[in-house]
Amino acid sequence: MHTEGNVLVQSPIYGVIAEFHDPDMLMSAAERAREAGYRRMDAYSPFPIHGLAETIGFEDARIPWLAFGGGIFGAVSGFMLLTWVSVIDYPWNVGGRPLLSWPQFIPITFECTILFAALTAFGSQFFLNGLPKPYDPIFNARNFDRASQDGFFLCIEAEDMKFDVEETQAFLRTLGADDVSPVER
Amino acid sequence: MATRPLTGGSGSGTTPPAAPPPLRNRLVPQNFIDGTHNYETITDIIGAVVLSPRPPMIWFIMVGLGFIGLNFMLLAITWLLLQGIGIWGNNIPVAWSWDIVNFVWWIGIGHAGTLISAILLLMRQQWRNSINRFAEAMTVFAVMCAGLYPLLHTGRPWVDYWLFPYPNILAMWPQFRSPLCWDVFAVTTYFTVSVLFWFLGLIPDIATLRDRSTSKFAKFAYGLAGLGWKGSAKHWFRYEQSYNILAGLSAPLVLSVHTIVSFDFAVGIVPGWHTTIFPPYFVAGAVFAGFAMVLTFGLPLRALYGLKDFITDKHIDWMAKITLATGLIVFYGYILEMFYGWYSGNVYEMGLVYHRLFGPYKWFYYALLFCNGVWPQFLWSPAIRRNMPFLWVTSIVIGIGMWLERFVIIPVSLTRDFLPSSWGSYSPTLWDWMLFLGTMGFFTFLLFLFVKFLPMINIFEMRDLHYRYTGGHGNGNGHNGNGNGHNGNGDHATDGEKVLTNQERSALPETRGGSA
Amino acid sequence: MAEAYTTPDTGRQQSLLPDLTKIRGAALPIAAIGLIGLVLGLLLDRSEGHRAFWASYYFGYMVAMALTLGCTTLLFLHHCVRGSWGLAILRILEAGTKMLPIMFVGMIPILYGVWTGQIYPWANEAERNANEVFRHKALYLNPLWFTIRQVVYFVFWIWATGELRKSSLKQDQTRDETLAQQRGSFAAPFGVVHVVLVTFAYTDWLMSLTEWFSTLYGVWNITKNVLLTLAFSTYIVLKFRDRKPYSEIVTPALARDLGNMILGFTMFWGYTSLSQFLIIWSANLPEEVTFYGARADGALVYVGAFLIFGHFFGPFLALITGRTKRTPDILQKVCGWLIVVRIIDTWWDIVPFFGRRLTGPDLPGLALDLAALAGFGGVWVAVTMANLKKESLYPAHDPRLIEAKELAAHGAH
Repeated sequence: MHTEGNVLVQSPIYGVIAEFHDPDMLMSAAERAREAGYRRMDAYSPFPIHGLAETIGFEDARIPWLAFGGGIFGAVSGFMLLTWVSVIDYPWNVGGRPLLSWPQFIPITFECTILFAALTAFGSQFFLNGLPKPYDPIFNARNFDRASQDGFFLCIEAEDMKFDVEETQAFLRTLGADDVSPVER
Repeated sequence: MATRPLTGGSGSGTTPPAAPPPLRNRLVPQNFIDGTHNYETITDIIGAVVLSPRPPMIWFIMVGLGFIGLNFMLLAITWLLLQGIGIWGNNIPVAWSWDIVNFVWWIGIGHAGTLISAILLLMRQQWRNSINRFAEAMTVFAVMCAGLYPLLHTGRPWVDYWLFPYPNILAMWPQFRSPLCWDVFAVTTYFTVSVLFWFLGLIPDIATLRDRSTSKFAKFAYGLAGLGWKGSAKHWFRYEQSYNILAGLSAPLVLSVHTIVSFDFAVGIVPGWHTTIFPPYFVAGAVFAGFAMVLTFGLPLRALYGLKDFITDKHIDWMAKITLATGLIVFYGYILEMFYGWYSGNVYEMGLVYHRLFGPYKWFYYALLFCNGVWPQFLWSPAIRRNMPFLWVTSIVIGIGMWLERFVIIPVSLTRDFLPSSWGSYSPTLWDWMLFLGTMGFFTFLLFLFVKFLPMINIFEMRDLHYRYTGGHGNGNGHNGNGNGHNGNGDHATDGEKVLTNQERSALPETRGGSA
Repeated sequence: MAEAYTTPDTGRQQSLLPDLTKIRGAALPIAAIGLIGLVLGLLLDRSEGHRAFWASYYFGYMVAMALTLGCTTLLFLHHCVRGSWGLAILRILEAGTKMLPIMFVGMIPILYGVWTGQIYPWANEAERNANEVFRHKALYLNPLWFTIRQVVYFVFWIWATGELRKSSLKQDQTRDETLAQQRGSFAAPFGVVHVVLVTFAYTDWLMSLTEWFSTLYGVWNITKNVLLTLAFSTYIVLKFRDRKPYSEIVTPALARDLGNMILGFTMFWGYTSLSQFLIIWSANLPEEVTFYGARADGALVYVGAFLIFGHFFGPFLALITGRTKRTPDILQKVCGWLIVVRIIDTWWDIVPFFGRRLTGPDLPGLALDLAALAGFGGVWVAVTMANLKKESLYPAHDPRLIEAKELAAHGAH
């Protein structure tokens, strides 16, 4: 992305993509690309490959904490709702039990904890991943429909400081890719 | 697309054979995919169930039967809405009967799905991968059937929203000290989380279907449902975090749901309902019935769609073993109920023991002991665990037995109150039958629609399993070990922890890169 | 399985055996002092039917019993499912089951008490005649049947664990995989019988001390036993993770498996405890609620409240994080803490059965409780450590451990 005069112009190239047929080759290619100094890249695979995200320099520990926070919120708000209703707003004698029947509040409090933690874990995954996103330039890549089946891709994005359409393609070819091509935006 | 050469095989010549997977990976149980496969054939076979233009005849028959059942259900509900619950057989003192029996039965069946998906995932039992999707779908549909009953049993289903706590002009709140109110929270949470978990697991496979389908409409529909999933490593990373957390939450959730269902009874003081073993005993019973139901539907589907390579005999064996184990826990519960009924020295508890054994409903109790206590003992035999028709019959027997268990606990206990003047009896009406059979039809209908429109085996996890064991070289050396490692003696202690024999290990090349 | 915590250096590394001797050396005098204290307590005890003495005796005995039966349960479970969590602790479990004959010796004073009309209300003629429920139960709860049942329990436990132990040791020598399969086929039915026997055993030992009854009690006690045993054996294994042979086999993966087992059983303990409490509290029936009534009496309620947080929330929150399970020092501390709270919980469960409370006149009983704990606990630890030393400290035959050892050796150079 750069400016020409006052107009923001996007480069027509999103990045350069290399296709591999083997997860191990994708992994070593990602390692080599990191070593070569590339930073803005992403790998695409039809199943999760452990360590691949870390290899391309990605780290994010927010989801567990968000879910934990969601759980705490659920527990506290659930218990407060029960207590406020049963003790303050609608005090009602049920079988002679105390208004603050805390043992009997545990089940609902527990369910609220789980519900809010689950909703947070589910929602934050989509939010942080930027999904749903029906259009993504990466879908323009050649053969990209294999990425959900048996293709393993490494894409170095144009926003990378070191990016150069020709050089980067040449670099990717040295990694044993089956196919290397530019991706239009 | 089909003309494209397969890229997964090591026989493609132009590329050097990749290094073998690290030693660690070989410790993964290897016999959960049979036959010779690569990423492409895995995707093909499972995807074909969905994408083939014409499903087999039997599919139409099953969906048709389900649809007829569904209409019975709608008829029964319509008449109920017009007439009120007086059309059912329950009446004081038996205020809870088939409606609650069927509620508990259905929700219990759903629990196997969560157990397979969540608990086995947490326990890193990889054999779950080929049955979890199907079992999760069963969970969602079974909870739908289950939820229907209490909603209808309220008598005025159109004001069921009163069950939820919301500020209202009636200045009224739910009675939070009642287990029935806990049920509202438990079942809603369970349904919500099950749907989320199921959908999250489906997204990558929906993306696969989007990329494979040829019809424009299918591409559009799967594209919409796939939410633009692109398989990015960053996305996978967060995806797995989220998925594991949902699994971790589902495991205690599933326990809590049936526990709360058991509280519906145990918290009261009706003899036969009030006993402290109920929570774990109900959970075990739920899993027992649920696994039986997975077998009831899974065995025919596996044969029908030729999925024997993915749902292997090993899977069936494991499911049969879990069925046996949970069945024993349930039977343990029966022993305790009888023994402590007598041991308590309480006249009502002892009366209940007598009533069950010698009362007017004694045959239901004996049938229950036979179905849940005696018949499942056949599963101790490895030969019977491999005998699919027999196993299928067993799964049906267990389904009936678990239904009888709830029947014996719920209405039969209610026929004997503390005072003999309040004793009563119960028999179901035509409408009870129609609603029950109707929900079975509804369940069958939904399940077969699911099989047709969504992949019933988790494709991306099967690819992952394939990679973990073979490193992706389906036609290469990897799977040869599969044959002799397993060779069908299929039973025994190596379960889930299969390791290579010394001979096999010595035949394998050195660990890659010394990274270990 | 990843590499072990420490790089094995066969030349310099210390063996675990001297440490075991040291523990045994420390446990023996503690046991002696405890047992002497217990005898002194008996002589000084002026309570009717020696209730104060028996309360302490039961407390100490049941802690040792919990460890012994926990080992038995886990032994059956391990051979049945062959989980990798059991590999490092298998020999500790086997050594623990060797305590069973000694535990039977500890049962003899109880049998004496039963035959002389002490301890149990149903064994005392006057109390039995005054209570209709005990008259009803006399068919089952009488000295003769009680004694026969104890013999049956112990004969089964000693025989079944002995068979499994023998087979596992034999496999160390012969490396015959079929033995493992055999153990698997036997452990399942053993486990089934075992669960039923433990249920009835705890009904005999503890539940029949009062009129109270609960169908969950057996499951509850099995859970408690397993939790204590897991915490104890994990503590030992982690404490000596730099000693041979644990340095070769105790990997982060094994520790994580054990940590997860402990987490699972902590949750299950919380679950069963809550279920039983909630059901009894809600129904509020006079014949049931006495159990919690006694345990919420006076200062005892604070012990119960402490257990909710100290035994459930604390360990649960600690174990739910990956960090605890990855860091052996923290996991070891959690195990140590769990041992302490398990003992407090056992005390809270047992002592009120004998009418004891946490009030002035009952406080001297605490000294006797400590003596009983030292006596039985000391004997248990000393004998188990001595038995542990006799055999190989890990199941050398298991291919998974062989694999782990090879990996560890591979990583060393």
